Amino acid sequence: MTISTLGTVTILLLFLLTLATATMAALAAHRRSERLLEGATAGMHAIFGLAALASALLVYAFLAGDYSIQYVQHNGHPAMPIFYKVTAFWGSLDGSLLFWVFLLSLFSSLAIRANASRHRELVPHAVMVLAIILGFFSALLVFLKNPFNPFLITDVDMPAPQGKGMNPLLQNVYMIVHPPSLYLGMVALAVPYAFGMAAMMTGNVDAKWQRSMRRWVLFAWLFLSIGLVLGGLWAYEELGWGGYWAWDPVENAGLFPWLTCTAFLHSVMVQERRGMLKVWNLLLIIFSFWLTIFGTFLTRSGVVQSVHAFGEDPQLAWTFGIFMLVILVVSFGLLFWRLPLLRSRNELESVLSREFAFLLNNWLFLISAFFVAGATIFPTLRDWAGILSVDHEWFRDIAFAIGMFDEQDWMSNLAAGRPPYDRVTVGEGFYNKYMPPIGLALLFLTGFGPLIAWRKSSTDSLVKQFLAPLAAGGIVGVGAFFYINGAHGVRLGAAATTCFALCGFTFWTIVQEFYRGVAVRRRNRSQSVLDALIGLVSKARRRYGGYIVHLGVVLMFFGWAGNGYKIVRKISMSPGETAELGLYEVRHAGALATEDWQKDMLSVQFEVLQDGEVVDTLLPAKWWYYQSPQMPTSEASRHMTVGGDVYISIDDVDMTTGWTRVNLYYNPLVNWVWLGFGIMIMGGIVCIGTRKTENG
Amino acid sequence: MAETTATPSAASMSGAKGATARWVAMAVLGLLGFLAFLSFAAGARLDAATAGLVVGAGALVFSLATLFKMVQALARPGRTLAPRARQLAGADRAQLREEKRRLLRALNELKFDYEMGKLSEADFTEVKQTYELRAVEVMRQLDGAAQAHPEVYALLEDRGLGALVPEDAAKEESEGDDEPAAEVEETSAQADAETKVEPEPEPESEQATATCEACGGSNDADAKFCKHCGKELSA
Repeated sequence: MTISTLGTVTILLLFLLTLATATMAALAAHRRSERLLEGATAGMHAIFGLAALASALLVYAFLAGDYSIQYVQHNGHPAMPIFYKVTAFWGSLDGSLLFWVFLLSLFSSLAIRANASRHRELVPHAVMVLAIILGFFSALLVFLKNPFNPFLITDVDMPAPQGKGMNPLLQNVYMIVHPPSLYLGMVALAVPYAFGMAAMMTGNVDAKWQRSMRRWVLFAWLFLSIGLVLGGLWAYEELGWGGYWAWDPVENAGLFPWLTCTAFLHSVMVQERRGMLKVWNLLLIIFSFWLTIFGTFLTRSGVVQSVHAFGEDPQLAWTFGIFMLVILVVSFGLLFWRLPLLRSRNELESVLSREFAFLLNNWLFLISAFFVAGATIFPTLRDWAGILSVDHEWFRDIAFAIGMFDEQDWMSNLAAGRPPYDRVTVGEGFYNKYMPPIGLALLFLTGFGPLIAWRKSSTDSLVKQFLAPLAAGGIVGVGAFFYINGAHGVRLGAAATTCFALCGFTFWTIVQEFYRGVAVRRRNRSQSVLDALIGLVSKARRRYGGYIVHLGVVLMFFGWAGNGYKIVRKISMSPGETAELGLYEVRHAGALATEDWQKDMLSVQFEVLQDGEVVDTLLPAKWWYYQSPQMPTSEASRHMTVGGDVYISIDDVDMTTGWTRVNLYYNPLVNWVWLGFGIMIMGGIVCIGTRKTENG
Repeated sequence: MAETTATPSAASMSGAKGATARWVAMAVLGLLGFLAFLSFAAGARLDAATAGLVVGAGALVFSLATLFKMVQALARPGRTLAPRARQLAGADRAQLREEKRRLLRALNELKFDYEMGKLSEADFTEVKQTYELRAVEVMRQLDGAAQAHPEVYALLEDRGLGALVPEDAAKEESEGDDEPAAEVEETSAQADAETKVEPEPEPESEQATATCEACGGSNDADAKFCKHCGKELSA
């Protein structure tokens, strides 16, 4: 039997087993039957076993070079290093779906095992929901995207042609970590969703299940963050356009669930403390899960145009569309059914309370999530409306009435024999116009929320709390404005100045929280400052872990504020020429051509000068992979400092004269983004912690 | 992320699965180690594909074992899950218990916030009293007491909190505590005892020994507040 057949049989079995498990779980829930529940639980573990087997077979096929499998033929190459051969498993659409199923089955299996006793009454329903989700994805594998499909030209006498190799852009360490990290985050959200649904089905809607699920959400949030930032880092280092985030639909796909997860992690605290927002929290769980499916739909079905979407596939688009609709209908149906049980016992008492700050933060996060999601899908929706309008007059009238299309343009285009409408794109500029105010408001709340008390705060305590941070914010804002004006000769805009000021404000609130916490602790027992600090953080890990995350966020905003005096120069240079770049000068020092086993490389040497002295030599390059010679990749090179990066990429080189079209960037404070990210992850890990230390 | 389960009831089921997983993982690792040993000691050629195959075989064994377990479970004579007495009726009680935990934690946090200077003294006393009143009431309801202390009602009415006085104060809640042990663990483990300045009161299953100086009512040995009158108990 070939690996191709064996793999196909495995995923077929996997699919059948998800159906069987879902049925057993449903029956177990209905009849309250112990043996059916045990059967369903074992079935869930077996699903994981089969998914692991299928994944191992695919990895084996890559390692052994079994090019009779189409997927391996398209993505594998005998000369690829073993590391890339393994990761080629999730490098393309079919394999990434299998990887998705593998992770989901792993998490389901772990979650069922961990909660078998703690939430026994929820387990049958949760198994059912998880098995149905797994069933959907394995059905995709079986019916639409079988990664084990044979390469049809081959027969016994003629060996399969050698593989094509993985997309060269993806052969990068960040790219190896970035997709699985995003997948981990997105897939992990299915578990809280399943338990949320189970809670609603059984009517056990108390906060108990949420406490268990909070960790899953935190875990998902952590991996989504890692995935998003590594994606940015990859874009920054590999794509050579001088930035790290371009609001590309595929990047956005990872961002929506991140936003709703962040909202949930905050609002769940309100439920814990005050018993409010029960419905809201369930909504956020539903939305988070739904948005992961929506994101997958965006990236997998080709409905949006993006630099790294997986290509067009209407069949997949329809399947995902129907699945998304079913999730919404079922989830909201359950929610309405259980609404009476979810009534809150408390009410908001004052606008000056932490609850209200949390509520505001939640609205902003949810608004951002849906704003970004809407803007991402808008061109596609407009296209669909366009198609419908061409076919149906009544729809056209509606589209004209709501201003989707301009009637006169439509008619004149038709008269001129052109397509009646053009595809619109929602560019970076659109997001960059609307998102910064939301981001700044959130940054303000990051500082504001922790300083005010639950329920209500009085004015004089507010003054005491906010005096120092406000002063710090003012000093940092004004200081940054004048310093940058003096040193860099740039007048900062209002947004960047506000951002600096808010960074100062929020930073000081965090320092103050730690300082006062330590002071209170030392008042109650005699301890050294360090002991008190450690005791503080370990006693209240979630609170202080959260502050560490906030600190990371502040540093990231600090890095973003640097965009206020970013310099971009796109010029042509010949060897020996010097160009000015802010405080630096860049000198062209000649070009060189080299090659290795998979590509031709053309590099240009640039010297970076500061005050007339060479501080670094950069080597941006163009690479032509033999596999896709018509698509050269751009390799940027940068000189990193605390104050900012000198970042150079090249567009075009004339090998005889050395004439180069070059993009010079000065990215101020950019490395603070990565530093802030590192601190954020540390804070997240402090929050997750382990159960053991929590007891001890 | 797997959190180990503590109670024995689930250990029989989940422990068995864990054992299979561990066993398979150990076998796979052992086999890989053996192959590595062969390649080093005996000069056999070990390529990555073989390692992949070993992992695949491990996954196969694991799936077969769990499938077998599934069939085994289904083949056993039927047994119904122990009926959960409190499904919806008991939800009230679960909510009460949750509220108690929340209130106690809120009190701790309030004190911490006060010490950090986030509240004025007047605010602190006011909010603290409303929390305390509510906590006393919740604890009394949880104890299954027929009625709250009349003084508490009077006090509640006094403060314009008449809504908190249950209409059916005589309602008897006779159901016992179903998982006191788990409860303790939950409170201390999950309830991120962030602001814990002093130990939280134990759940209601303790012996009543402390006597309130103000009203003479008996309380749990480690109670912080009197459940009859709400006054703070001396240690």
